[in-house]
Amino acid sequence: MRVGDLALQAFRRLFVFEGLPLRLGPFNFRIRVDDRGLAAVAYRLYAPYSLASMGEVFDAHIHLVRPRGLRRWLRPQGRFLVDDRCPLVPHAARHGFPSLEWGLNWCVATRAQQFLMLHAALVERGGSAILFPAAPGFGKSTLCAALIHSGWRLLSDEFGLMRPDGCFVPFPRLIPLKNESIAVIRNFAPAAVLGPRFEGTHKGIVAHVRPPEESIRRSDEIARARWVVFPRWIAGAPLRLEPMPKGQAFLMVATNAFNYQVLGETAFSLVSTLIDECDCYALTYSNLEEAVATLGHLAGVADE
Amino acid sequence: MDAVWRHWEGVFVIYQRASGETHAFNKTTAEILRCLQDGSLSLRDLMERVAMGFGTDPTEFSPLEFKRLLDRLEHLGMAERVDFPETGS
Repeated sequence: MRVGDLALQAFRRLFVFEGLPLRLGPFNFRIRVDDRGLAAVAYRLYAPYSLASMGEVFDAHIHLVRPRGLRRWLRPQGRFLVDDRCPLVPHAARHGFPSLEWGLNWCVATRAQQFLMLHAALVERGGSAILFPAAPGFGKSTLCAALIHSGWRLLSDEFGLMRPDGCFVPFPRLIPLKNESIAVIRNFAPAAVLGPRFEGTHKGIVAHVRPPEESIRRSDEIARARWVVFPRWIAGAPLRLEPMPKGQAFLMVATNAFNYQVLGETAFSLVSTLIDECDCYALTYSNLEEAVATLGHLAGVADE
Repeated sequence: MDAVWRHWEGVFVIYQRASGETHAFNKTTAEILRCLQDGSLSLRDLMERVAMGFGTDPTEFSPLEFKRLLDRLEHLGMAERVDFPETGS
Protein backbone atom coordinates (compact mmCIF):
# COMPACT_ATOMS: atom_id res chain seq x y z
CA MET A 1 0.00 0.00 0.00
CA ARG A 2 1.24 3.44 -0.87
CA VAL A 3 0.91 6.69 1.04
CA GLY A 4 -1.23 8.08 -1.77
CA ASP A 5 -3.76 5.26 -1.29
CA LEU A 6 -4.68 6.78 2.05
CA ALA A 7 -7.20 9.58 2.29
CA LEU A 8 -5.59 12.83 3.45
CA GLN A 9 -7.49 12.61 6.73
CA ALA A 10 -6.17 9.11 7.43
CA PHE A 11 -2.67 10.19 6.46
CA ARG A 12 -2.88 13.18 8.80
CA ARG A 13 -3.95 10.94 11.68
CA LEU A 14 -0.89 8.74 11.16
CA PHE A 15 1.50 11.61 10.49
CA VAL A 16 0.45 13.74 13.45
CA PHE A 17 -0.76 11.24 16.06
CA GLU A 18 0.04 7.56 15.50
CA GLY A 19 3.23 7.63 13.47
CA LEU A 20 3.47 7.15 9.71
CA PRO A 21 5.10 3.79 8.83
CA LEU A 22 7.11 4.91 5.82
CA ARG A 23 9.36 2.68 3.71
CA LEU A 24 12.24 4.58 2.12
CA GLY A 25 14.44 2.27 0.08
CA PRO A 26 15.81 -0.44 2.40
CA PHE A 27 14.75 1.40 5.56
CA ASN A 28 11.52 1.62 7.54
CA PHE A 29 10.83 4.77 9.50
CA ARG A 30 7.97 5.57 11.79
CA ILE A 31 7.42 9.30 11.58
CA ARG A 32 5.31 11.51 13.81
CA VAL A 33 5.21 15.28 13.39
CA ASP A 34 3.51 17.65 15.83
CA ASP A 35 2.52 20.02 13.07
CA ARG A 36 -0.75 19.54 11.22
CA GLY A 37 0.35 22.18 8.74
CA LEU A 38 3.08 19.91 7.38
CA ALA A 39 0.74 17.00 6.74
CA ALA A 40 -0.48 18.28 3.37
CA VAL A 41 3.10 18.90 2.19
CA ALA A 42 4.24 15.45 3.31
CA TYR A 43 1.13 13.79 1.83
CA ARG A 44 1.84 15.24 -1.60
CA LEU A 45 5.57 14.56 -1.62
CA TYR A 46 5.44 11.09 -0.05
CA ALA A 47 2.38 9.92 -2.05
CA PRO A 48 4.20 7.32 -4.25
CA TYR A 49 6.17 5.80 -1.35
CA SER A 50 5.16 2.50 0.23
CA LEU A 51 3.80 2.15 3.71
CA ALA A 52 5.54 -0.33 5.96
CA SER A 53 3.31 -2.67 7.87
CA MET A 54 3.13 -2.10 11.60
CA GLY A 55 4.49 -5.60 12.23
CA GLU A 56 7.83 -4.79 10.58
CA VAL A 57 10.97 -3.68 12.37
CA PHE A 58 11.55 0.07 12.17
CA ASP A 59 15.05 1.40 11.68
CA ALA A 60 14.15 4.54 13.62
CA HIS A 61 11.19 6.13 15.33
CA ILE A 62 11.14 9.80 14.44
CA HIS A 63 9.23 12.47 16.31
CA LEU A 64 9.32 16.10 15.29
CA VAL A 65 8.33 17.91 18.43
CA ARG A 66 6.83 21.36 18.29
CA PRO A 67 8.06 24.02 20.69
CA ARG A 68 6.66 24.42 24.18
CA GLY A 69 6.72 27.26 26.67
CA LEU A 70 8.24 30.55 25.57
CA ARG A 71 9.70 28.94 22.44
CA ARG A 72 6.17 28.52 21.18
CA TRP A 73 5.95 32.27 20.71
CA LEU A 74 9.50 33.63 20.70
CA ARG A 75 11.47 32.50 17.62
CA PRO A 76 9.72 29.11 17.76
CA GLN A 77 11.93 26.06 17.53
CA GLY A 78 11.26 22.41 16.92
CA ARG A 79 13.24 19.35 17.93
CA PHE A 80 14.03 16.20 15.99
CA LEU A 81 13.78 13.12 18.21
CA VAL A 82 15.13 9.71 17.22
CA ASP A 83 13.95 6.91 19.45
CA ASP A 84 13.10 9.55 22.06
CA ARG A 85 16.58 11.09 22.00
CA CYS A 86 17.41 14.50 20.59
CA PRO A 87 20.75 14.21 18.77
CA LEU A 88 20.48 17.35 16.64
CA VAL A 89 20.35 21.03 17.49
CA PRO A 90 16.83 22.48 17.47
CA HIS A 91 15.57 23.92 14.19
CA ALA A 92 13.39 26.90 13.40
CA ALA A 93 9.82 25.65 13.62
CA ARG A 94 9.07 26.97 10.13
CA HIS A 95 11.76 24.65 8.76
CA GLY A 96 10.10 21.50 10.05
CA PHE A 97 9.87 19.66 6.74
CA PRO A 98 13.48 20.20 5.56
CA SER A 99 14.63 19.38 9.09
CA LEU A 100 12.67 16.13 8.96
CA GLU A 101 14.35 15.20 5.67
CA TRP A 102 17.82 16.15 6.93
CA GLY A 103 17.17 14.27 10.13
CA LEU A 104 16.32 11.14 8.17
CA ASN A 105 19.68 11.53 6.40
CA TRP A 106 21.35 11.78 9.79
CA CYS A 107 19.71 8.53 10.90
CA VAL A 108 20.96 6.70 7.84
CA ALA A 109 24.45 8.20 7.97
CA THR A 110 24.93 7.19 11.59
CA ARG A 111 23.23 3.79 11.57
CA ALA A 112 23.35 2.03 8.21
CA GLN A 113 26.78 0.49 8.68
CA GLN A 114 25.72 -2.61 6.73
CA PHE A 115 26.45 -0.50 3.63
CA LEU A 116 29.45 1.46 2.47
CA MET A 117 27.79 4.87 2.30
CA LEU A 118 29.19 7.10 -0.42
CA HIS A 119 28.21 10.75 -0.48
CA ALA A 120 27.02 10.50 -4.02
CA ALA A 121 24.08 10.56 -6.38
CA LEU A 122 23.35 7.47 -8.41
CA VAL A 123 21.19 7.10 -11.52
CA GLU A 124 20.61 4.10 -13.76
CA ARG A 125 19.51 3.55 -17.32
CA GLY A 126 19.66 0.45 -19.45
CA GLY A 127 20.93 -1.63 -16.55
CA SER A 128 24.09 0.38 -15.79
CA ALA A 129 24.47 3.14 -13.27
CA ILE A 130 26.47 6.35 -13.04
CA LEU A 131 27.79 7.32 -9.64
CA PHE A 132 28.27 11.03 -8.98
CA PRO A 133 30.39 11.56 -5.87
CA ALA A 134 30.58 15.22 -4.95
CA ALA A 135 30.98 17.61 -2.08
CA PRO A 136 28.06 19.98 -1.32
CA GLY A 137 27.80 22.86 -3.76
CA PHE A 138 29.18 21.02 -6.78
CA GLY A 139 25.83 20.72 -8.57
CA LYS A 140 25.25 17.03 -7.85
CA SER A 141 21.58 17.33 -6.87
CA THR A 142 20.70 19.65 -9.74
CA LEU A 143 22.31 17.35 -12.28
CA CYS A 144 20.66 14.34 -10.66
CA ALA A 145 17.22 16.02 -10.74
CA ALA A 146 17.69 16.85 -14.42
CA LEU A 147 18.73 13.29 -15.28
CA ILE A 148 15.80 11.64 -13.55
CA HIS A 149 13.47 13.85 -15.54
CA SER A 150 15.26 12.77 -18.73
CA GLY A 151 14.66 9.03 -18.58
CA TRP A 152 17.15 7.98 -15.90
CA ARG A 153 16.08 6.08 -12.79
CA LEU A 154 17.01 7.56 -9.44
CA LEU A 155 18.75 5.26 -7.02
CA SER A 156 19.92 8.00 -4.73
CA ASP A 157 20.63 11.68 -4.57
CA GLU A 158 22.66 11.68 -1.36
CA PHE A 159 23.68 8.15 -0.37
CA GLY A 160 25.29 5.62 -2.64
CA LEU A 161 24.47 2.54 -0.54
CA MET A 162 26.95 -0.16 -1.57
CA ARG A 163 26.43 -3.72 -0.39
CA PRO A 164 29.33 -6.06 0.38
CA ASP A 165 28.79 -7.70 -3.03
CA GLY A 166 29.40 -4.38 -4.81
CA CYS A 167 25.78 -3.77 -5.82
CA PHE A 168 24.04 -0.49 -5.01
CA VAL A 169 20.72 -0.49 -3.19
CA PRO A 170 18.20 2.16 -4.26
CA PHE A 171 17.29 4.86 -1.78
CA PRO A 172 15.22 7.22 -3.92
CA ARG A 173 14.51 10.05 -1.51
CA LEU A 174 13.17 13.51 -2.17
CA ILE A 175 15.90 15.72 -3.66
CA PRO A 176 16.47 18.97 -1.76
CA LEU A 177 17.21 21.68 -4.31
CA LYS A 178 18.83 24.83 -3.03
CA ASN A 179 18.60 28.45 -4.07
CA GLU A 180 19.05 29.02 -7.84
CA SER A 181 18.73 25.29 -8.56
CA ILE A 182 15.01 25.45 -7.82
CA ALA A 183 14.24 27.73 -10.77
CA VAL A 184 16.73 25.82 -12.94
CA ILE A 185 14.83 22.56 -12.46
CA ARG A 186 11.43 24.24 -12.78
CA ASN A 187 12.55 25.45 -16.20
CA PHE A 188 14.27 22.21 -17.17
CA ALA A 189 11.42 19.92 -16.13
CA PRO A 190 8.14 21.84 -15.82
CA ALA A 191 6.31 18.60 -14.99
CA ALA A 192 8.54 17.88 -11.98
CA VAL A 193 6.70 17.70 -8.65
CA LEU A 194 8.25 20.26 -6.31
CA GLY A 195 7.33 21.01 -2.74
CA PRO A 196 7.09 24.48 -1.19
CA ARG A 197 10.08 26.78 -0.79
CA PHE A 198 11.56 26.98 2.69
CA GLU A 199 13.49 30.21 3.04
CA GLY A 200 16.27 31.05 5.48
CA THR A 201 17.46 27.53 6.25
CA HIS A 202 21.15 26.98 7.01
CA LYS A 203 21.50 26.00 3.35
CA GLY A 204 19.49 28.96 2.04
CA ILE A 205 16.22 28.42 0.20
CA VAL A 206 15.26 24.75 -0.10
CA ALA A 207 12.54 23.03 -2.13
CA HIS A 208 12.18 19.28 -2.53
CA VAL A 209 11.74 17.46 -5.82
CA ARG A 210 9.79 14.23 -5.74
CA PRO A 211 11.44 11.48 -7.79
CA PRO A 212 9.40 10.07 -10.69
CA GLU A 213 7.08 7.31 -9.54
CA GLU A 214 8.95 4.66 -11.50
CA SER A 215 12.11 5.28 -9.46
CA ILE A 216 10.19 4.80 -6.23
CA ARG A 217 8.30 1.76 -7.53
CA ARG A 218 11.60 0.09 -8.50
CA SER A 219 13.18 0.64 -5.07
CA ASP A 220 13.99 -3.07 -4.82
CA GLU A 221 16.02 -3.21 -8.05
CA ILE A 222 19.72 -3.07 -7.26
CA ALA A 223 22.30 -1.91 -9.79
CA ARG A 224 26.03 -1.95 -10.40
CA ALA A 225 27.90 1.20 -11.27
CA ARG A 226 29.54 1.34 -14.68
CA TRP A 227 30.82 4.91 -14.53
CA VAL A 228 32.08 7.20 -11.78
CA VAL A 229 31.67 10.85 -12.75
CA PHE A 230 32.80 13.70 -10.51
CA PRO A 231 30.54 16.62 -11.43
CA ARG A 232 31.25 20.27 -10.91
CA TRP A 233 28.99 23.10 -11.92
CA ILE A 234 30.85 26.30 -12.77
CA ALA A 235 28.93 29.34 -14.03
CA GLY A 236 29.59 29.92 -17.71
CA ALA A 237 32.04 27.03 -18.02
CA PRO A 238 32.10 25.04 -21.27
CA LEU A 239 31.20 21.40 -20.90
CA ARG A 240 34.19 19.13 -20.37
CA LEU A 241 34.09 15.40 -19.70
CA GLU A 242 37.62 14.16 -19.15
CA PRO A 243 38.93 10.77 -18.06
CA MET A 244 40.22 10.77 -14.51
CA PRO A 245 43.15 8.57 -13.40
CA LYS A 246 41.81 5.68 -11.37
CA GLY A 247 44.21 6.19 -8.48
CA GLN A 248 42.92 9.74 -8.06
CA ALA A 249 39.33 8.52 -8.40
CA PHE A 250 39.92 5.93 -5.67
CA LEU A 251 41.14 8.57 -3.25
CA MET A 252 38.27 10.93 -4.06
CA VAL A 253 35.63 8.22 -3.58
CA ALA A 254 37.21 6.91 -0.36
CA THR A 255 37.51 10.34 1.23
CA ASN A 256 33.96 11.11 0.22
CA ALA A 257 32.42 8.09 2.00
CA PHE A 258 30.50 8.58 5.23
CA ASN A 259 31.80 5.42 6.89
CA TYR A 260 35.03 4.40 5.16
CA GLN A 261 36.93 4.39 8.45
CA VAL A 262 34.23 2.39 10.20
CA LEU A 263 34.23 -0.42 7.64
CA GLY A 264 38.02 -0.53 7.27
CA GLU A 265 39.27 -3.23 4.91
CA THR A 266 35.75 -3.97 3.64
CA ALA A 267 35.49 -0.34 2.51
CA PHE A 268 38.94 -0.49 0.90
CA SER A 269 37.94 -3.60 -0.99
CA LEU A 270 34.59 -2.16 -2.10
CA VAL A 271 36.05 1.09 -3.37
CA SER A 272 38.76 -0.89 -5.18
CA THR A 273 36.11 -3.05 -6.85
CA LEU A 274 34.12 0.03 -7.83
CA ILE A 275 37.16 1.69 -9.40
CA ASP A 276 38.15 -1.53 -11.19
CA GLU A 277 34.69 -1.91 -12.70
CA CYS A 278 34.07 1.72 -13.65
CA ASP A 279 35.38 4.23 -16.14
CA CYS A 280 36.11 7.41 -14.22
CA TYR A 281 35.58 10.95 -15.42
CA ALA A 282 35.57 14.55 -14.27
CA LEU A 283 32.63 16.56 -15.58
CA THR A 284 32.59 20.35 -15.64
CA TYR A 285 29.39 21.96 -16.83
CA SER A 286 27.21 25.02 -16.70
CA ASN A 287 24.44 24.01 -19.11
CA LEU A 288 22.18 21.21 -17.88
CA GLU A 289 20.90 20.20 -21.31
CA GLU A 290 24.47 19.72 -22.55
CA ALA A 291 25.44 17.75 -19.47
CA VAL A 292 22.42 15.45 -19.75
CA ALA A 293 23.07 14.86 -23.46
CA THR A 294 26.77 14.14 -22.87
CA LEU A 295 26.04 11.65 -20.12
CA GLY A 296 23.49 9.98 -22.40
CA HIS A 297 26.18 9.58 -25.07
CA LEU A 298 28.59 8.23 -22.47
CA ALA A 299 26.07 5.60 -21.43
CA GLY A 300 25.04 4.83 -25.02
CA VAL A 301 21.44 5.76 -24.42
CA ALA A 302 21.38 9.10 -26.24
CA ASP A 303 18.98 7.89 -28.90
CA GLU A 304 16.49 6.15 -26.64
CA MET B 1 53.76 -5.08 7.38
CA ASP B 2 50.27 -6.54 7.14
CA ALA B 3 48.64 -4.65 4.31
CA VAL B 4 46.49 -4.88 1.19
CA TRP B 5 47.82 -3.31 -1.99
CA ARG B 6 46.14 -2.01 -5.13
CA HIS B 7 47.57 0.13 -7.87
CA TRP B 8 46.28 2.05 -10.85
CA GLU B 9 48.40 3.97 -13.33
CA GLY B 10 51.35 4.63 -11.05
CA VAL B 11 49.36 5.33 -7.90
CA PHE B 12 49.70 2.68 -5.21
CA VAL B 13 46.95 2.55 -2.58
CA ILE B 14 47.73 0.55 0.51
CA TYR B 15 45.39 -0.43 3.33
CA GLN B 16 47.38 -0.94 6.53
CA ARG B 17 45.54 -3.45 8.69
CA ALA B 18 47.25 -2.49 11.96
CA SER B 19 46.14 1.15 11.82
CA GLY B 20 43.07 0.79 9.62
CA GLU B 21 44.44 3.62 7.48
CA THR B 22 44.71 3.89 3.72
CA HIS B 23 47.79 5.49 2.17
CA ALA B 24 48.62 6.51 -1.38
CA PHE B 25 52.18 6.37 -2.66
CA ASN B 26 54.06 6.82 -5.89
CA LYS B 27 55.89 3.87 -7.43
CA THR B 28 59.24 4.65 -5.77
CA THR B 29 57.83 4.65 -2.26
CA ALA B 30 55.74 1.58 -3.04
CA GLU B 31 58.85 -0.22 -4.31
CA ILE B 32 60.73 0.71 -1.13
CA LEU B 33 57.94 -0.84 0.90
CA ARG B 34 57.88 -3.91 -1.27
CA CYS B 35 61.63 -4.41 -0.85
CA LEU B 36 61.41 -3.96 2.92
CA GLN B 37 58.73 -6.62 3.15
CA ASP B 38 61.48 -9.19 2.51
CA GLY B 39 63.44 -8.02 5.57
CA SER B 40 65.66 -5.21 6.84
CA LEU B 41 68.07 -3.55 4.42
CA SER B 42 70.77 -0.94 4.74
CA LEU B 43 70.13 2.29 2.87
CA ARG B 44 72.69 1.32 0.23
CA ASP B 45 71.20 -2.16 -0.26
CA LEU B 46 67.72 -0.73 -0.36
CA MET B 47 68.66 1.72 -3.10
CA GLU B 48 70.28 -1.09 -5.07
CA ARG B 49 67.23 -3.30 -4.66
CA VAL B 50 64.85 -0.55 -5.75
CA ALA B 51 67.07 0.31 -8.70
CA MET B 52 67.12 -3.36 -9.68
CA GLY B 53 63.32 -3.43 -9.53
CA PHE B 54 63.12 -0.45 -11.88
CA GLY B 55 65.97 -1.62 -14.11
CA THR B 56 67.98 1.53 -13.40
CA ASP B 57 71.28 2.45 -11.75
CA PRO B 58 71.25 3.18 -7.99
CA THR B 59 73.27 6.36 -8.59
CA GLU B 60 70.12 7.82 -10.15
CA PHE B 61 68.59 7.98 -6.68
CA SER B 62 69.37 10.54 -4.02
CA PRO B 63 70.23 9.06 -0.59
CA LEU B 64 68.72 12.16 0.99
CA GLU B 65 65.45 11.64 -0.86
CA PHE B 66 65.41 7.98 0.20
CA LYS B 67 65.99 8.98 3.81
CA ARG B 68 63.10 11.45 3.55
CA LEU B 69 60.81 8.73 2.17
CA LEU B 70 61.90 6.31 4.89
CA ASP B 71 61.24 8.96 7.55
CA ARG B 72 57.73 9.33 6.18
CA LEU B 73 57.15 5.58 6.19
CA GLU B 74 58.45 5.38 9.75
CA HIS B 75 56.16 8.22 10.77
CA LEU B 76 53.21 6.27 9.30
CA GLY B 77 54.25 3.14 11.18
CA MET B 78 54.96 1.28 7.95
CA ALA B 79 58.73 0.93 8.40
CA GLU B 80 61.04 0.77 11.38
CA ARG B 81 64.60 2.03 11.70
CA VAL B 82 67.12 -0.59 12.83
CA ASP B 83 70.87 -0.24 13.30
CA PHE B 84 73.23 -1.98 10.93
CA PRO B 85 76.63 -2.38 12.61
CA GLU B 86 78.60 -2.05 9.39
CA THR B 87 76.90 1.14 8.16
CA GLY B 88 75.10 2.59 11.13
CA SER B 89 72.11 3.46 8.91
